[in-house]
Amino acid sequence: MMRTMNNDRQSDEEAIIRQCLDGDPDSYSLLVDRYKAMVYTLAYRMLGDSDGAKDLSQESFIAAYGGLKQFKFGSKFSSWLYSIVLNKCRDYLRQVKDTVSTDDISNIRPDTGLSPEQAASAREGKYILQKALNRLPADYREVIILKHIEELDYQEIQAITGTSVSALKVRAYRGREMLRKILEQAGVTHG
Amino acid sequence: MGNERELMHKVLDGAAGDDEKKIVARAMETDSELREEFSGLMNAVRMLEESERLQPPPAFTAEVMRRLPQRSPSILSRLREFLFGSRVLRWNMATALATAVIVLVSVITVSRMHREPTMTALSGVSSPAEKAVTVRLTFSSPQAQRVAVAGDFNKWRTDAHEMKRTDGVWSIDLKLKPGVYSYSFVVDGKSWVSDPGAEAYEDDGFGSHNAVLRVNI
Repeated sequence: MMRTMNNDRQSDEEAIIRQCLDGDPDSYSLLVDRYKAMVYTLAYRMLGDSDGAKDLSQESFIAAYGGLKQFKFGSKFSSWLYSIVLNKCRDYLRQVKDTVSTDDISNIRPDTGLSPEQAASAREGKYILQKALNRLPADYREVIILKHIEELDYQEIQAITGTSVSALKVRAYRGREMLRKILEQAGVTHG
Repeated sequence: MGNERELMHKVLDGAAGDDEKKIVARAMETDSELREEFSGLMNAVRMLEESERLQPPPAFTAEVMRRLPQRSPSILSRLREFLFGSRVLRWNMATALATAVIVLVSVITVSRMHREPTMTALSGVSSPAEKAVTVRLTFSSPQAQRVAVAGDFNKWRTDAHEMKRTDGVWSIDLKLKPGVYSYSFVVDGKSWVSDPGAEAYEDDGFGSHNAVLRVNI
């Protein structure tokens, strides 16, 4: 049943893409509406900045529209869109520079940028989680987001990122370890 | 110990089998550090999995749509639009009056033609047996390498009626039954040129004009 629903959704999306390619841009709004939360969430989790996430999400949709001719019919539109967003995130983060070393977990320090009031509100979880994600190296962060927030399997993440499953598992392992330490240092106790 | 940590992450990946889960559970019973570590990892994963999908600001879609680059429609969709697209006619009093005058003049002209049958603007030789008339079309174009005539009498084919050149003037004799025909000259296979000597013209729907040929017996 789920398979049929997925197939229906895929053929529906392919019909929309064909309409766009035939010069009917209005139909693209259906795809934007369908995937805007997914794209915005991924961009926000990667950047940790709502304004930047909004701009980057919009640019991703515009880039996807411009590249519709390159879309491979039969593949998942969502995976293709994920890869566009991630590429844009990587470009953006390269510009602002990742300051955290990829391999040295011991360099992670408690987040001294938190005021006492923020530390109190950080207990709410959402805020502290994003702060913790921001401190992960970008290549760990994207695997952690795709695996545990978007809940994709490694095969799909491989299709999106172009990274082998074994390398993805290593990044997830290290990313989780770093995240655990950051959360503990920030005073988030185990649930 | 290293193996047990790897198994712990396998559990977090949702890929561990029952036996592997038991090994991890047994190790944690005896190792409080490992237990603490696993608890911390579980906490991190739970926070990630419970985080909600975020909604972009209002008017997000509208802004994307406004910023989309213009994509030129395909030939197929343009043809579809040309054939089946709905159109709105805008008019004003001056246009209406001009249209009325054209209609009136056309009616008078047609009625006169019926009263006084005339020859075509081109010389023709009738052939009563076939009820067709031989019509000669001529076109002066010394620079052209090739000229053909295409019209509704040959389904607008550009290769059906090639014209012959004599001293820079191209000509062709066509056998046509009485009626009204649209046509155009095709120069060197690419340029469509209206007959400068035609008796009338009509809009071709593509921003240019076709010549109109009336063939009477």
